[in-house]
Amino acid sequence: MKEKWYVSTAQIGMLIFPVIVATADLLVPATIFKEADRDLWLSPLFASLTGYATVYLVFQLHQLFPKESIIEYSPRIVGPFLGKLCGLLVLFNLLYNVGYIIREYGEFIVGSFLYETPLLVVIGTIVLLCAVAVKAGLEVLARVAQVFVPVAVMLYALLMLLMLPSMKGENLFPVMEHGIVPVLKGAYTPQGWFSEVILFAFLLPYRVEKETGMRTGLLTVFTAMLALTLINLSTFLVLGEDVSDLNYPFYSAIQMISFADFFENIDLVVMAIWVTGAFIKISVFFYALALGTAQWLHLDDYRPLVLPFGFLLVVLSFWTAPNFSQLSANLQTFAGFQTTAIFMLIPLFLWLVARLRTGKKAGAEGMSSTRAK
Amino acid sequence: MKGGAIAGISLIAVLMTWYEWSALRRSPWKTKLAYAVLLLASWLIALLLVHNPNLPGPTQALMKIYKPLAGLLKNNEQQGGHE
Repeated sequence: MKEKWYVSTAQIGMLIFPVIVATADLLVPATIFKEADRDLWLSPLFASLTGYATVYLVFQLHQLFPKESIIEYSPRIVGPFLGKLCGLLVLFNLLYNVGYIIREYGEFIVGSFLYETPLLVVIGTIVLLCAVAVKAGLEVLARVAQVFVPVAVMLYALLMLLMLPSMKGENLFPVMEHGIVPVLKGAYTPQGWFSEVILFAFLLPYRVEKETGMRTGLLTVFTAMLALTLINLSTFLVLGEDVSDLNYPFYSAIQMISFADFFENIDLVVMAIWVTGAFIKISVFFYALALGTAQWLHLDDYRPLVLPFGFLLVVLSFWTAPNFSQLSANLQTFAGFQTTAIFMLIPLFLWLVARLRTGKKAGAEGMSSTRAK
Repeated sequence: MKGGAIAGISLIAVLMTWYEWSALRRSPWKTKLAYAVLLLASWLIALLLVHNPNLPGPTQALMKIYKPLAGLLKNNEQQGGHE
């Protein structure tokens, strides 16, 4: 793969920010509430620890192999067989997760706005749109993110300001009534989202600046954590205990905004933000999936794989769960383990082996040159 | 109904290949093979799903793998007496 794309570090951060926040914002408050009760706003704080750890590992590995993605450098670190196996696991998890995300997107749109539209149409159109964006390349995606993410963040901030009058401060107390354990359990599902920052490993090889630290990664995880905390907090302050009965609590909280009888139906703004965020999120996953598969098979171009992958994703999104309640139940039970187990433990494994090997040989260059491509 | 769905799925697969044809023709055999395998696999899964929408899939496999861990979380919850 010799793609010549140049994207700035800020653009990469803006591509990853919706990856964490986009689908989490609507689904997560209800999921956390089931465990953490009224301390749900504290859980993202602990959940983001997974994000920091993954960012650290991915950026450390990136420093050893600045020009390669995780699919390319894993055979160099642990040998061809184990390396290919690690790559396959990461790719499979990406495939499964993006099928899942597409289904979440479709269920929300059909369940809240386009009641009569078949799920297949909603899912098919977004996948087609993402396929076109992915075929256009990373630079296009980066610019899309650069245009839309700041707008989406500003709109969210505006929505929260509008929610202020309906917030009830007494909902919040007492803080940590049952101690810290429920908060940690509540963090279990959202930490799965934070482990998805492994996608940095597919984007970093194309950045222009040679930043040595991992400021961008940490900043992205931190802002995502802040956003999720604020979303949980504002949702809970508005709705109180009703959060548990709702599928999309944040969306329901927004629906309560009403000023002077004419400033209403703001929930449509949420739909616009959600579609934009989901579009960027699915595209980044899709891009990493197509590019990673091409690298895994040593193909020289990933573009021919985009359309068949789109087809596979539509099929898979229907395959993941029979209905919405099953989908969110799965989310609650094993999605947290399933994403973190692969997206965090594989970089951890690679990093440990790389550390052991570079300790013996003279630096990272020694290891890279042993297996010239 | 089922016949229509199968025809529609096959039509999409054919249209996709038709659209990609000019690019595919110039690409090396490995790319062609990867394309064909991906497309045929998705086509086959789609047909199986039309035949039986409740076909066990990756979700069931992953659930089997992660069930012990998920069970761990549930048990703790009960012991803690927290609902």
